[in-house]
Amino acid sequence: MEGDKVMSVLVNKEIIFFGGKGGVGKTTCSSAYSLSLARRGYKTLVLSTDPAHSLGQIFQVELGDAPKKLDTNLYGIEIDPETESKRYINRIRQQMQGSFSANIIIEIQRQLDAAYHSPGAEEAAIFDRFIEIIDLVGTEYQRVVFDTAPTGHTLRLLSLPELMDRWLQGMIERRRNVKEMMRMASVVDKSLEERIKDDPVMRILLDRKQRFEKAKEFLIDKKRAGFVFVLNPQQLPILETEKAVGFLERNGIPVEGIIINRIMPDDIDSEFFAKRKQVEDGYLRQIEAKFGDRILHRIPLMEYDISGYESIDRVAKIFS
Amino acid sequence: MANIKDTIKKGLKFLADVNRGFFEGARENSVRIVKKDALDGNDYFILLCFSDFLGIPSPASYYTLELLPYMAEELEGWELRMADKKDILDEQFEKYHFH
Repeated sequence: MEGDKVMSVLVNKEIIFFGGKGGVGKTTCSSAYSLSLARRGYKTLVLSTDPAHSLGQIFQVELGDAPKKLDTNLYGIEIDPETESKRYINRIRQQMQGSFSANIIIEIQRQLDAAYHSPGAEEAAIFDRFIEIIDLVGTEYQRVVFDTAPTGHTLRLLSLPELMDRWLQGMIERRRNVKEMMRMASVVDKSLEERIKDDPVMRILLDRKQRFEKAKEFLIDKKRAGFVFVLNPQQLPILETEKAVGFLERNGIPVEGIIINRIMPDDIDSEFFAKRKQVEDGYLRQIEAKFGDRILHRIPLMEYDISGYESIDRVAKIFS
Repeated sequence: MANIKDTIKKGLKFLADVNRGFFEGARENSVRIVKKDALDGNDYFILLCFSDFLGIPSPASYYTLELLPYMAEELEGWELRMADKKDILDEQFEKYHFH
């Protein structure tokens, strides 16, 4: 059975990401997969990184930033970038109180207010939470399933550690250099000694770098993490998936396979839908040719909506 | 005799003074240059962290916010210096007394 293939390929990996174009059924597949894991006895956390969340809607519960129990062994989170960045920025605000001149405080407050909307802030906030969650793998949870945002968003998110690592490296080198020069110059100017004595800035930069490296290591670790793409037998999802798989593989992130969702049934009595089915068959052959044995599963188009516990339950049975 | 000895002594002392003065001056000057370079380097470091304060977007700007509590004091002077940079070459010449 193909359903077994999903479980046998994926089950030993601690983290699985479900990706794909918007609306192809990522949330359906990640919910079903995490439910299957939970039923096999793995304590599982399923979480959505899509700012337009739909995970809670499928389980018909209100999800938020803190894990909520969905079923035996199953917990859910919807990462809210705004809550994340608020927490981060408020911590900075608190550290800023006192000890500074009014001028500086006003300027900094202005910057902090603007920071919520600065380019990349949302991804950075999601990524911070992502790093926190990686720390819970193997201790708090045995398995973590990511219901990611549509492809472009997710690829940007995943390229963040690489990009930031380079920036941080530049900053760390520059800082080190400056400190070394200050140390030399402190022979004539003792006040410089004060500035290089204890360096929280360097500490923070090194700590950041370490966390990015940890995330990067995890993402490319074939034994621990993997990516699954969900697509529909249609032109654009196929093209987008092909591009995304290429991107991930170039970046060393393992792609485990693809799941084809919403395949029309064979017995169709309407002429219109029979024609549509023919078009679909063409796309299915394309998928076959492009992905071959990386196809993990084919999910038929269902006559009901995938929402609410019962329908999820039916999809979960496909994977188990 | 004593006179000649004194003269030689004076002469040697003079040479030693010139010598010391010359090297100490050079040493002090080189340390001064290092100090200027260190402060300049620090300004560039702040630029890497907070270029968006000057309106230059930086991909790291969200992450460097947490450095603010430790660097805020330097920022005011830094912004003034950045606004005041009219001639970077001039600044470099000044370091070596090329005026």
